[in-house]
Amino acid sequence: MIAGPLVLVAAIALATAGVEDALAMPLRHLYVAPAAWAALRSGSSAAGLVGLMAGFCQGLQAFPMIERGGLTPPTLDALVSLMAPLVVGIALGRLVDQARERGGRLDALLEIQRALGGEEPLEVRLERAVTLIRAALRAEHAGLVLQADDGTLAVVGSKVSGAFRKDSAAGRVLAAGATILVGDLDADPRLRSKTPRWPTPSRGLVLPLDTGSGRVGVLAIERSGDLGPAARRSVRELSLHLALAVENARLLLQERRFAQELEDKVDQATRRLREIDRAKSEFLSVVSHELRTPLTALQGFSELLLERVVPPDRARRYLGHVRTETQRLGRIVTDLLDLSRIEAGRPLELRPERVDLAASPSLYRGPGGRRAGRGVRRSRRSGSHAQA
Amino acid sequence: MRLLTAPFDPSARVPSALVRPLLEVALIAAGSIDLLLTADTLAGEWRGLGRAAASGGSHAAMIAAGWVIALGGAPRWRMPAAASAAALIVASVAARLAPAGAVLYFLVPLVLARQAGSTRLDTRWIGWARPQTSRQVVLGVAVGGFLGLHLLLAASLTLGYTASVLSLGGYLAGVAYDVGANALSVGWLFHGALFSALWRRWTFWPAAAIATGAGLLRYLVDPTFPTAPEAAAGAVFYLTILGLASCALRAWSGSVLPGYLATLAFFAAYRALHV
Repeated sequence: MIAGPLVLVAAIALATAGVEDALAMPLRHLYVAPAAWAALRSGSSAAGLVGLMAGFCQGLQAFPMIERGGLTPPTLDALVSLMAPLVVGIALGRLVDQARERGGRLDALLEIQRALGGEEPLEVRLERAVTLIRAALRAEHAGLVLQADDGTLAVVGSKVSGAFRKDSAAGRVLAAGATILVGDLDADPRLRSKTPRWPTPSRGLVLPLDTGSGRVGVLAIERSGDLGPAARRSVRELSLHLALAVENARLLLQERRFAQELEDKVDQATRRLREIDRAKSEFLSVVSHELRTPLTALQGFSELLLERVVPPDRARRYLGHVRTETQRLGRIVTDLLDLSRIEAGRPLELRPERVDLAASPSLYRGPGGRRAGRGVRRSRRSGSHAQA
Repeated sequence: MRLLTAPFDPSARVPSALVRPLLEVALIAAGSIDLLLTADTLAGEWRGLGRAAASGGSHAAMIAAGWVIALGGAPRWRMPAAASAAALIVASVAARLAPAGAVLYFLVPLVLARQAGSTRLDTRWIGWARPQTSRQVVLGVAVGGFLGLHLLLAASLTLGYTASVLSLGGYLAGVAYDVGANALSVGWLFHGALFSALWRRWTFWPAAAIATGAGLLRYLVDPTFPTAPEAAAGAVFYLTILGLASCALRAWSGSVLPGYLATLAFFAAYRALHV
């Protein structure tokens, strides 16, 4: 990755080699170019290395001149140009590193948000988010503990071999909210581990996922090598965004649940309306049938009386039928009017009436054989008729 | 993930067990070196031998300090430290008696490796392990070789020093000293044990700076360190870069071997430099 800049350093060194008055030569300022190239291409580490090589190359010319002439303005200028590639390279490289890191973090956040807001089950989405976090932070392991409003926990992480413990580092951060940094997971007395094992220390960092209005969980990472202030700052920033992403996912979930509930209610109401509609249709069909029966009788008897010669006693009996059916029709119409009154919420017109209980035992006993309710007074008069 | 599943006690503290054994090493080393230097002034025929033994003793003290750190101050450090010290002192005296005796210096790394292996002491964490790839070894040699070559060029161009091997025997004896004492003790203690212990607490740069500073201090108190200001400034410059490079190689490869080889390559060039 730095072969190109190194070749350029070598080329500049060859071009300036053997020149007597190298200090006065503007060509030496070109050493900044490969350092800047390395910085833009590969960041601060590569730029530092190229800058160091440029310094070494310039030193072979500058040191003898300093030895010969002492610290004069030209030799001081040579010292400055000796240091310039290193300083410029590292400074520019740091900026490039930071910009790339931020870009990478934003990309990771977008991916995490996308993963959390997916359609799959929550466990699958959290697993994917943890994988993305692990990759974004270049960590060996990452774990996420999310706490719901009712206190239930969702624990997702790579290599979570045992059960989550409330007295673990993550559990303590979840309870207290303070960040925990472990310098070496193999040799930290707080984790009851005393003997380091591996040449590269394994760092641990547990951060609360705080949205500003409360903790939604914790993020834990385990990473080999350095986890310096810049890296920790980066993790902290990511955890802030992650907390918001989790909160957004939670709100989205809530919204979906509300939408589902609303849909269920609308479905239920629609079903009920359909049932009512069907009941009304049935009712109308029954009413039509009930109206048609006396009307048919009325029509039949009236046609008989009009079109045939009927003996008087039979005509009288027919007229009796006509009266009975007319009364029946009247009762049906009265009942319909009462029903419409009930539906409209208007009071019923009650008419006290004498009823022969013996003739209508169901009125006294009520349906299913129960006693009639309030307002039905029973009295027994002489004779065989019971009246209410 | 231990952060999720292992119990965590925020108040747990383990007192450092290093202070007492390190003091022990310092006292034994100071006493022995003082005694040997005194012996060096007493008898004429012993002159030089005491000094050589004291030199071996000082390197042995560094190796012992490395053992103390590597084993976390556990009492087991004494036996391997004593074995390394014996090998170093014998090699140092043998080299003093005859240049061919310097070959015994090659035994010191073997003794150290045997002690680390046979007693099953886990010294992997300080980098006493194989590097992950052979490329890391090559890079270590390249870094040391480059610095050494640059030193030769800069010193010859700037100070007029000459680069030559006046006596092959003397040169090889010097290289053997680097293999068994100089580079080994520096690599074992400063770039291995000290750097690893510090790196576990802090990040790379503070740990590397302190380990390199301590290593530099070791050279500054060395009686063979150049006395001329410009040569001393040059030595400090190269040793600082070499120290930082060795720490970086140790961190990158997980082994002290690339840094050790870098130091060897640098000193191999340095020993060819003459005023």
